[in-house]
Amino acid sequence: MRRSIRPVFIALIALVSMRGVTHASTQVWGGSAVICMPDDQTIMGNRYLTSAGSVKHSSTSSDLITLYCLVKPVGGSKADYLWVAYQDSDGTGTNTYVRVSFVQMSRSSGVETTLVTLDSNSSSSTGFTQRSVNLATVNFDMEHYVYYMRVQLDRGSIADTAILYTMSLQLGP
Amino acid sequence: MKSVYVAFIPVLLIGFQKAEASSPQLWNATGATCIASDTAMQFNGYADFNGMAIHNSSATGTMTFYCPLNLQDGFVVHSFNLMFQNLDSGGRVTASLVRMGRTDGLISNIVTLDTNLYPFGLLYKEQPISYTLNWQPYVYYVRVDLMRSTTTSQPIFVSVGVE
Repeated sequence: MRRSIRPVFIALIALVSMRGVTHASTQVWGGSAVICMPDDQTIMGNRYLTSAGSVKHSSTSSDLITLYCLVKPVGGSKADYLWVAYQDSDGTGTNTYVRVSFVQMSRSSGVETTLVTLDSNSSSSTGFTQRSVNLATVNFDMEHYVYYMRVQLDRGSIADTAILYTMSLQLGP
Repeated sequence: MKSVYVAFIPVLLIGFQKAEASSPQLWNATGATCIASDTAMQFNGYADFNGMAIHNSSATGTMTFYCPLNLQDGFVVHSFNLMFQNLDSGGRVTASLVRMGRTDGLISNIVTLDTNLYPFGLLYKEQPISYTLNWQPYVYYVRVDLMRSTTTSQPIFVSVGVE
């Protein structure tokens, strides 16, 4: 009887262990660019285009696009990495950029605090890029704060390209 | 030793049950709570109607809406549902659960509901599937296309959901 139970027990322990180590990191929140709300200037200026889940400039615009994306953590109560997938056609050049800021706003005062910003100009990559930035561990406190991403896409001319694809918050690199 | 093994099993099972109980079991959104696409928003193509989404009175064509999906990693999707109104052949509503690759930006539809497959009317339709959300390589959202060829048609995007 003892021998027959032992393999079952070992299998159960193995199963529990696998659940814990299958992923090196935990996904806390993620979204594509199209779930974000453009700001008033972006909408009224006809500046943006949604395409295959991504957001970029309309063909004739090279003005600033601002997006706001509600963050609702569903995969845990902490995060320490912001991942962004984007394209910035001039790399470290400053005319074209994609900036994603993770922001918390106090529910009682309305005061905003930017927790971290990922700026495409800090990379020389000019094609599709996925990068992360480390931030001090955020313990989501939904009772006192709301959380969102503020996204800015700008380009020097209509020949340049700034595209936002995805954003994610995770615990672990 | 045997008694130790037996004592461990209920503890482990309780752990599983607690994890399941704290997870959201469904997600849904109404038409007006989803983000309208560039053409719908910038060219006044759509209107909110009691929480639902419809065409602006003078608009025709396709109005696309994107709805953020908030379900955790490992959630098993058992069904995808859409509530809509479509009263004639001039209107159509399609809804898709979409995944987008974090490393390549490529999108693909996991499941789609299309009013062309159903009779005219105000209907709730459900498509059973079995799909496990994996937020490591993908992000997910729901895309709804509200279409009409003439202003006399009145298709309505009421709500969409995942269970």
